[in-house]
Amino acid sequence: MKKLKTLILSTLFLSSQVFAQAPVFTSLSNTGKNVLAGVKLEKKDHEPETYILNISADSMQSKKINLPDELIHREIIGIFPAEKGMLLVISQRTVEQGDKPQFHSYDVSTQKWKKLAETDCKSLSKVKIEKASLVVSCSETNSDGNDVESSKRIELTGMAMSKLKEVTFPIVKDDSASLKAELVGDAFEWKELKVGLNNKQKVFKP
Amino acid sequence: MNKLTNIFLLFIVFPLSVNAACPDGKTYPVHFTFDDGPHAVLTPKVLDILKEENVASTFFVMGKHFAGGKSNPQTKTAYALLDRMKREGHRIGSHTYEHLNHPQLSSTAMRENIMKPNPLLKDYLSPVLRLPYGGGSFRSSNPSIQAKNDLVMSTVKKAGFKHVGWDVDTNDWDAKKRPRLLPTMLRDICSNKGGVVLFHDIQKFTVDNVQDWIKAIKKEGHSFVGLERFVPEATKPLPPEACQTASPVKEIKTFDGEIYKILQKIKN
Repeated sequence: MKKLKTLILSTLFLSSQVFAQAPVFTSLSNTGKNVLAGVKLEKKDHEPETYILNISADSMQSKKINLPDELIHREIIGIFPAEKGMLLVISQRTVEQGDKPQFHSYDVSTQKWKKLAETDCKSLSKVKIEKASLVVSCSETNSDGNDVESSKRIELTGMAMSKLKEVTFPIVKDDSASLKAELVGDAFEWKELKVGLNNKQKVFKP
Repeated sequence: MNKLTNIFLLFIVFPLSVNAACPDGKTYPVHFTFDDGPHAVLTPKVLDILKEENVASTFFVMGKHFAGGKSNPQTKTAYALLDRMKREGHRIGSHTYEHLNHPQLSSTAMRENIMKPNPLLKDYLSPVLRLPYGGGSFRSSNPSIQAKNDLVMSTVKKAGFKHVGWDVDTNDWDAKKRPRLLPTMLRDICSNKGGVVLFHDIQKFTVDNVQDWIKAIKKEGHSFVGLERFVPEATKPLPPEACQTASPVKEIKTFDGEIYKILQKIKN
């Protein structure tokens, strides 16, 4: 009976934990040397707070990349590596309705942010990464209320992308040679990030 | 005594109510809201479904659909839909004139976008308003963002509206998140203990599925209630200040604004 009581109490404790508004991962990127993930913390009646978690593959230690004021309440929906230690970050306000996704560059060494572009593309479904531009595919609602696919080119002035590929959102898994990264949990509410290098594996929480 | 405690604990985990939808054994009141309409084709379908299911909802309509008022023949369908909403027991709230993020606007543009729909909709509106993107209605840890949010909310209040947010955001606008919409919504209804649920009646996806979602919520044992259950102010009439055009709000003094004024002086 004592065991049953412990079980019941732990069930109650766990079920109450389900409703706690814990931070979640919203996006994932693997540069080959680092794993980066967007993080969002939602609290009732508060703007969502966001930042990027930067995990070094060598040390398996994480560091927070703080966002500029213009991005702190925007969800990070994509992070892509570029040459010369730059990152391309895609963000969107996702409460009530999606606004125009914005494209920023981030220089990791100088910690400088720069807004490159924004585009009308409510539900971003795919992105084709080219050297100096992106082609984004969007699922938009037309005037009849139907979903229509469209694609838009975003020129990336002053940036050269390093991993040229086409990706479909959401990016849940991103492997690069021996460095492997995967988001774990319910879609868009990922609560864990598994990072593996050779035989080592570590689980990160936001 | 020990036995009594054990029985009590068992009842908490396995409650008597067989319909209990939520892990806590309870069912909750729910109210559906639809933003961005009315849509000439899709909103009537939503109204048909709500009538069939006997569910009263709130429509937060965009003022731009009523540009020119009743004298503009192009607004005839939109006004006819408002008449039908009223007749069928739904509530109508303002979603402002255009779908803009208010804290990013100048104070004059922000006020105009909040006030502009009101004379066009005064015969229909309850004193409830939902800001597009919820922009301005949230608390921010950043003082400069909070100052802008405060200005937006003070404008909403001065216009006589109660801002109505939501407890459950369904993300029905995002094609990527739609496959998980129903289970996430049911989970969030439980975790929020019911509340106001947010949809858009300009999405065909929403209109095609809303009847199934209503049935699923009813099957879980939850009940549909009027907005006044969560927002008692919703029953009041629209106050006269909602349609006043004078008394512009105080401008926010920003560094950019000061530079602009100096440049204007030099130019003149």
